[in-house]
Amino acid sequence: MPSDRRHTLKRRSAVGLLVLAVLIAGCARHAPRAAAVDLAKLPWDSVVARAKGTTVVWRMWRGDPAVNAFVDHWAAPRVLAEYGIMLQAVSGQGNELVDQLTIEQEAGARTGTASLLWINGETFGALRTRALLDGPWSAVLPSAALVDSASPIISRDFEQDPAGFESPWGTVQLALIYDRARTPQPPQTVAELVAWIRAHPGRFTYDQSFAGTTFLKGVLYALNGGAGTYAGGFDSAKYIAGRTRLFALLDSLEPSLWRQGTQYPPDVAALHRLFANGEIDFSISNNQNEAITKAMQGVIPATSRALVLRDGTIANTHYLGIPFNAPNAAGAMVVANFLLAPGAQLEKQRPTVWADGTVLRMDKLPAEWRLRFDSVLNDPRLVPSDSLRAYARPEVSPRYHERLQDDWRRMIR
Amino acid sequence: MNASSRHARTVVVPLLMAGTLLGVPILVSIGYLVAGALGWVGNTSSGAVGRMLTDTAVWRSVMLSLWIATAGTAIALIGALMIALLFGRDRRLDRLAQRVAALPLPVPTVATAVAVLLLLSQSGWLSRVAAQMHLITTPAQFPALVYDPWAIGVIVAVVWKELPFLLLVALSLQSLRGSALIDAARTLGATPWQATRTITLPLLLRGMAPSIVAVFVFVLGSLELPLVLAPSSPLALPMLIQERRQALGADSHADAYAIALIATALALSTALLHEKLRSDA
Repeated sequence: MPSDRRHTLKRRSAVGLLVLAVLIAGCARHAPRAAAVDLAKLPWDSVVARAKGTTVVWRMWRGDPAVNAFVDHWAAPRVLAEYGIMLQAVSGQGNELVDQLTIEQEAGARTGTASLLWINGETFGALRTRALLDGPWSAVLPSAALVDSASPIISRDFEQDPAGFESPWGTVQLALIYDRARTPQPPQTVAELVAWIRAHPGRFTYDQSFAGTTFLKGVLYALNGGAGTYAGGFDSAKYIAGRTRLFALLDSLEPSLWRQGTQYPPDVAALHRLFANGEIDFSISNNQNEAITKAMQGVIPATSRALVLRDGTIANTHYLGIPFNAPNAAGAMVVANFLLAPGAQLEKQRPTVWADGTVLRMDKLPAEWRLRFDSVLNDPRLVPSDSLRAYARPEVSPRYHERLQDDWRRMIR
Repeated sequence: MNASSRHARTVVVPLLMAGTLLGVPILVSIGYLVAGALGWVGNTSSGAVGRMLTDTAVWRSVMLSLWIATAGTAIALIGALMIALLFGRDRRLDRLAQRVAALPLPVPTVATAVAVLLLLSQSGWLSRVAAQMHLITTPAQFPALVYDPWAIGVIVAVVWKELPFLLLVALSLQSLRGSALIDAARTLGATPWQATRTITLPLLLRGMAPSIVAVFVFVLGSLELPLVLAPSSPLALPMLIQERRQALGADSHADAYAIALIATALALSTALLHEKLRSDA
């Protein structure tokens, strides 16, 4: 009996100590964190000095191995060597970020886990509205002076003003992808595309997620007098008028689409697969350069080419933000600056790496950099950059994207 | 040390601990689902449950997911039973069958889904064989077995994934039970089929009931299979939940929670039905 009681006493004390330790750890006070908005007022050297030897957790979309390779194997080692910062990229995008930060905000967590976020569009809008982003800070980055801030694609994020709360990182433009071997004379405008679809029933479709909706938005602009019609915030009446015309066209096209328009592939990956396997003759991508990068990866045929419709396709920019409770805002600012610098922008643009467009303005760069960028863009399979710029159309209020996606799911799918 | 405190230590305490470890997370998640659906958390409006119960898209998804789970589980069950009855008698064959049945088990669901896609899509392996045999000339002529409204591809993947599991359960039940009852029935003049029908099958089904329910509920809530193989119209229930969850309008979140609550209610009813049948029998 005595040994049993001692045994029980020991076990109870152990459990008690464990519970006490957990409580103490939970109540631990963290050192006060420096906010990016305050660091932005300091000289840049002192921000770099503060960041040295620290870790930056970066929440980003991890769905593309090419992007992951660029971040993990090119950017991270260089950031470590040059600034002594350990860069850890983890998964997190869109709604997830908004939700998690909202929960942290409501719980009063003054220090979160992530210091850097990869965001744009609706996500930026949601974070800004709820005051979940730190800032303004992006204008103090040394490389910010090189950004093409006159471009309407970069200076406005889905019509929202970044206002220094997010730093631009890259741009992409939507394009169709076709196979030169199968379709030597592809359609060049929306009207020609519609005629092509009717002449080749069952050989065209679009996906249910982001790329498909962006493609439909471009067609919406083309049918309703251009992107300018929808500039200046969300207008419900304009939206419904435009949607009626768009959906009437889609309804009339339905019998000529893949599977008679009764089924749609879930995402861009499935769309690429149907294209590569010869079930359909066009694929779509938010990044015009995927025609090359995916061909290099063997996902689509080597004879694939990008096609930007002359009525214009949507171009947009993606950015980096710092959450309100970032534990290492200094490190995040240094990493954002590194990624904005010409070296990283050039590497990112290589077709063998990622082929993501640069946000830098060429005439603000020294001549040697201009030559380097030109040589990277000089691939005959790519859409020439002046055509790209001529046909680029900006994003409008994120509400249009939301409503179009919802209504398409309700009424067309 | 008297009997009651020994009983406490060896039975009640572990039971309480297991109950807490398993029960608390389940109660917390269901609690959060309810709170989300009613709009108590997450900045959303209330009334989502009512909206979802009257939304035809939700019911179409429910019917599709129920169809996939029922057809998939039924076919896997019938296949498992047939193979178990054929191979279960002989001890060596039984051992071999158990080993073979265990092989596909570690394969992740997503891998099975992709394998079915590669096999059965209109540009997949079967289609190419048909083209080589000059039965078809274009991919569109091959029947639509994936992304189709009857979810044939998903059901094939479900059977591929779950038949081995159910087979293992059936085989182990058979070998445990032994042949005493069958021998007695045969002595009394029953034909092999009668013996199987009145003794073996009911015993197997009763023993397998928890596994059948587990398979059914798992398939009902599985996201990976519809993600790769299922149609876009109607949309499988887990896909619908994910879509609403990731949509940016605040109302959609509450919708997602409400639909998830409906899905949980479906799963719970299946388990309760099983309990009721078991206690009736």
